[in-house]
Amino acid sequence: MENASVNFQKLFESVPGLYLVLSPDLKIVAVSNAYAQATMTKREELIGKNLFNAFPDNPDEIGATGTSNLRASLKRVLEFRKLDIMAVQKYDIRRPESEGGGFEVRYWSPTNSPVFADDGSVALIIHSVKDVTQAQSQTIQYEQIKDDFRNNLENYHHLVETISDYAILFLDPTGKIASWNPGAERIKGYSAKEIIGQHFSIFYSKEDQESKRPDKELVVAREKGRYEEEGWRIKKNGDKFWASVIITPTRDSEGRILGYSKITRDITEKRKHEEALQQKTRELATLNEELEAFSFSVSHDLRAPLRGIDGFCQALLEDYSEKLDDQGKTYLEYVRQGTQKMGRLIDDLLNLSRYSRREMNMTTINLSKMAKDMIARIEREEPNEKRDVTIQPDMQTKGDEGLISAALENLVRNAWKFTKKSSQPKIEIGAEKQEGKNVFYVRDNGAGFDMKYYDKLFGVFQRLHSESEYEGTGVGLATVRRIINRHGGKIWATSQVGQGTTFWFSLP
Amino acid sequence: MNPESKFILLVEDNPQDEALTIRALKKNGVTNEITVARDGEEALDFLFCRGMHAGRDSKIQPQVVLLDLKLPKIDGIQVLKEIRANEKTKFLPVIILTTSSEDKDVISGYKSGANAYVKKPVDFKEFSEAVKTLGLFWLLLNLTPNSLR
Repeated sequence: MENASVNFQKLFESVPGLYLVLSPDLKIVAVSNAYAQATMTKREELIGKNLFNAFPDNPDEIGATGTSNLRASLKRVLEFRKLDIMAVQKYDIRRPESEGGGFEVRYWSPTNSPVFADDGSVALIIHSVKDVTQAQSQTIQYEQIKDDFRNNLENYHHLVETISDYAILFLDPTGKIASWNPGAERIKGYSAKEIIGQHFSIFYSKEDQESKRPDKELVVAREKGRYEEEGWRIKKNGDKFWASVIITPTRDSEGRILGYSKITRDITEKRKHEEALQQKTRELATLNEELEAFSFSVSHDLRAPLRGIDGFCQALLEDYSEKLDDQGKTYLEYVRQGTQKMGRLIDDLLNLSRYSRREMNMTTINLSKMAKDMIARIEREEPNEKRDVTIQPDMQTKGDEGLISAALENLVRNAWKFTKKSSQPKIEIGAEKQEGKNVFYVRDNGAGFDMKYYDKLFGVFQRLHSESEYEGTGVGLATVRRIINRHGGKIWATSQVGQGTTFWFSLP
Repeated sequence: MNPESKFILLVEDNPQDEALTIRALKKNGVTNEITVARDGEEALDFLFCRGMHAGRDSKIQPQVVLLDLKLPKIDGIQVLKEIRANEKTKFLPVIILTTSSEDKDVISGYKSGANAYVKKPVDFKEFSEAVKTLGLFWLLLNLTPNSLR
């Protein structure tokens, strides 16, 4: 440094720190570049000015303490002639008008230290500051979070305290009860005073306690992160209740178990309802089984004697025809007709009950193809009967194929039967939109019926025509309606005597 | 019983049905011997050569079993199950005698082996269809040309 003449003023001004040098009467004597920059000021504007004129409090901030704290600190330096470290100060910086004016929020950590004259008096004061705004704002945020957390916790406690439908309790890592809410008191009957500190196995039956069930539940909660079950628990008065229980572990940031939260609900009533429902379901299943067994035996036992009667009448007609005169043969034919009629009745009734019980298997059905096949089959059976049949193509619906087929066949055969006497018998099978829904119809120009008997139309064994006119058992339409109802659909009809009938049905 | 004979086992408890079935078959020219078992137990005893049929040669089995479903003691479905469960009779052709479409529902759960159905009273047309289904054409070889329509 011998050759260089050191300019101490420049040296000071270039120090990478925030420094002001003040005279004892608090006038600014020197300013470091960094200070001027940090405070958004210029040296020329500061030198010679009183510190507090240069840096006033933010007038918008009521109760700003920056200047008064600084004043006190500087006074202490002059008085006690010692370094004075100040606490972090909020001391807002005036923004130059060129940059929009106003004040900028800043936090400072200031230190004031004396510079002594030869006579020992304080000649100057070095005011050094660090801008801790960033660190401070983090601290403030942290405080805010802490406050929020505390508030939340209070809200949370308040919540737990007011819940009476659920028992919410905390267990320590060994399973001892650490907290108790009114829900717990209501459900289990213990007050907080008598239960806190007890092991939670107190809520379990003797058998459960002996099998170490409570401890096992904690193990599951710890290992799987959750334990959930329904089971019997014991109240203070010894009563049992059916509980829905969830146990979850609480851990610290290192993963150590702090304890467990346990939420219990008394669902005894719900269980009672469920049990009652199950009982009813079982009864229904039994009833259904009985019904099935009944149908099975009806179909066999009722039919067996009929088969005998019909079969032996036929055998008589075939094997002994030369020994019977015509009247005898006619009588035997009558017997056969009667038994066959009864056989059909049994069949129809069985089908009615079968279609009511059979499990449904829903698929997409091509009704057009189904109807076409049906007509072809009927035409084969009755080659001498002719009907003008129109089937709308590509009709589709969802349903159980077997059941829908049975329903459609009944309607189609009905239309076929009741057009027997029409001069130009026509059957039309189609679909149209009614109130946004697909409605299917089977229309004929046959005998029709009087709409005043409409309410008998779908009844079992109800017939609107005499047996001699149109034969039938009166079970067909009842079966159709049952099938459509089972699908959640609707069926209805419109008719006019001599003009024909239209059956409509919709499926959901 | 002639070991060479191709006989039919009819399992039927109702004597009238039995008479009508045998009549229908004979009348249509089925000349095979027809052995009748009158309940499920008897049918199984016969097939497995036990009980009252203990001395029977188990190698001699019917060509086809006509099995009614509703039988005393052991019902038809149980008989069918046991026939299918036994190595010796696993592939024995069985024609189920049904009385309604209800029966097919019941039996459909036991689809095993080549079962066919004939609705009672046994109608010869249906019977010959069922026999064809089972691949037992030769059973019909005994028939007179007239009865083959």
